[in-house]
Amino acid sequence: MSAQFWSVFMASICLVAVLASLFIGSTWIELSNVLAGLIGRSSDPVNTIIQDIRLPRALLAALVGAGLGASGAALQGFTRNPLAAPGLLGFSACAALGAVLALYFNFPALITPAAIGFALVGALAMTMFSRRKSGASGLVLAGIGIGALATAITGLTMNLAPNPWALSELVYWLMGSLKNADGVDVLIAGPLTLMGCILLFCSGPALRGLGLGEDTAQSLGISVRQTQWLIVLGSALCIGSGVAVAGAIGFVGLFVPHILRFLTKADEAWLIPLSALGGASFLVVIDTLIRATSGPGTPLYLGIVTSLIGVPFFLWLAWRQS
Amino acid sequence: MIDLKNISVRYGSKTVVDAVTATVNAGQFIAMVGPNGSGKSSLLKAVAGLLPHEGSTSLPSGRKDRAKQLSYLAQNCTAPHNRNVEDIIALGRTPFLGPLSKLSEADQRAIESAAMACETRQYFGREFGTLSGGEQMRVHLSRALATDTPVILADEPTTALDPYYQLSLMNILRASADAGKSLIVALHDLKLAERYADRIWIMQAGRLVADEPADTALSEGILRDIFRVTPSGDVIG
Repeated sequence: MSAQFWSVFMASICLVAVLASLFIGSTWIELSNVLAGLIGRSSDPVNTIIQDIRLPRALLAALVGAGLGASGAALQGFTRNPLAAPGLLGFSACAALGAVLALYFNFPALITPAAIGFALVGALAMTMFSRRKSGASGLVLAGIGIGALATAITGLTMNLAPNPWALSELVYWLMGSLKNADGVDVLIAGPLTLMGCILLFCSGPALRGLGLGEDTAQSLGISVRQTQWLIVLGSALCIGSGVAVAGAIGFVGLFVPHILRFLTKADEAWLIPLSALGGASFLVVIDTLIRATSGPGTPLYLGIVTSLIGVPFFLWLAWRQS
Repeated sequence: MIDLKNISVRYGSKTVVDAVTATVNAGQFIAMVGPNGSGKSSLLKAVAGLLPHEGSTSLPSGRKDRAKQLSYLAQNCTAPHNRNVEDIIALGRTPFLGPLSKLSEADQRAIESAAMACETRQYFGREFGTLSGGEQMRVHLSRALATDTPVILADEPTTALDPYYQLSLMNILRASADAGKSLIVALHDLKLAERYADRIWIMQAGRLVADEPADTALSEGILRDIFRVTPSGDVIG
């Protein structure tokens, strides 16, 4: 089946997931009520639940998931390394550090720019390292190093934090959650993620050629440097804006492209939009399940759940590699 | 044809290609030979625009424009193992495609004729990873020929191939030269160089020390002084 078919298929799944998430929750809402709630024609509680809680949360889950999936697919294509993903390569942790620093120094308005800026530094360090041809293990080791450093500084910042409230923020950014999602977050993350995804999509045709190795790709007129910049900027925008609103959510960028590559046989270029749609659908489904199953007072963290799902997959991949 | 003028490549203070000047006419097959480390690969990469270098070539300097004039077969070619053969060969048309454009009829024709020339048409629909090493190399060559450029550079394409695939690869390259293309092929096998090339370039310590007709280039003196072997195949201690 063609990549076009899979794109339409994944887009439909994504749409169904977002719609379904509007019905499902601690209270089930019927179709007619959901539709009325969307345009503000239902009862006040339903209007609030749909417009202020479920819709922003579903949209935000879709945005964050799309950014993670697209970045993962592009990074795997560029480094020609199946273990490359924004979480493993440490720049989700870098973005989280940026967000936490902005908060610590009391500039909440700078959370998003700081997260994007730090993600950019992480992404740049990674791609430069991968171009030194240090191999898969070197790349992952460097990523673990960068991620551990960022996490340690995040921990230090919060260690010095003045109050327990600040400490709970650390948990939020390290574990990832959409529980505080609102319309403003969607307006912030939406355009930035969209811009990031467009940059990543643009790198697609070059990634096809890069599959033949850097020298051959260059001899075909492909600019490796330009491709690298597209991917660095694109994934920094996606990951930075995602982390700024939802914290670090691991492993989605790793396994979504893998599963889709296996299922769809899509090439490097098609895999980026497919992974964006797949990541979006996955995160919407998981977050909806979390929302529906969490009792009051004990919300599960989204990032923990995705890691619990992703880690076995990662171990299997590492096992198969060796 | 292609002109090289004073091509030099330096890594720091080390000169690996030293002021190489030469011309390859249309339809000419150059075999470039020389000991390991004599600068063959670096010269090819410099000409292909992959390495910073001094001097100039007669090729356009723009990335895309050069890619339409020259195709390069790297020493360690790779391709994604799960990609279909025809998709890999189609990548040879990259210089002619815009970011969103599809393969035109002309592109399809170039792909077909390259696949016919290299006998890779039969592998269409198969994944690259299912082919043997010799078959994979023919796919890489098809990709290079599909670009349909007047100049072809190949860096030790016969390495790691069995005699059948070595000879069939050289036959394909020879046919490309006979069709009017200019070829520079780095080789280690002097017998193949003598048999297939029109002229032989001999590289030593970064310099082009001889550019002679293939049947006379590999004299006893050259074999002894540069390759440290005798014509009968003994090593000179």
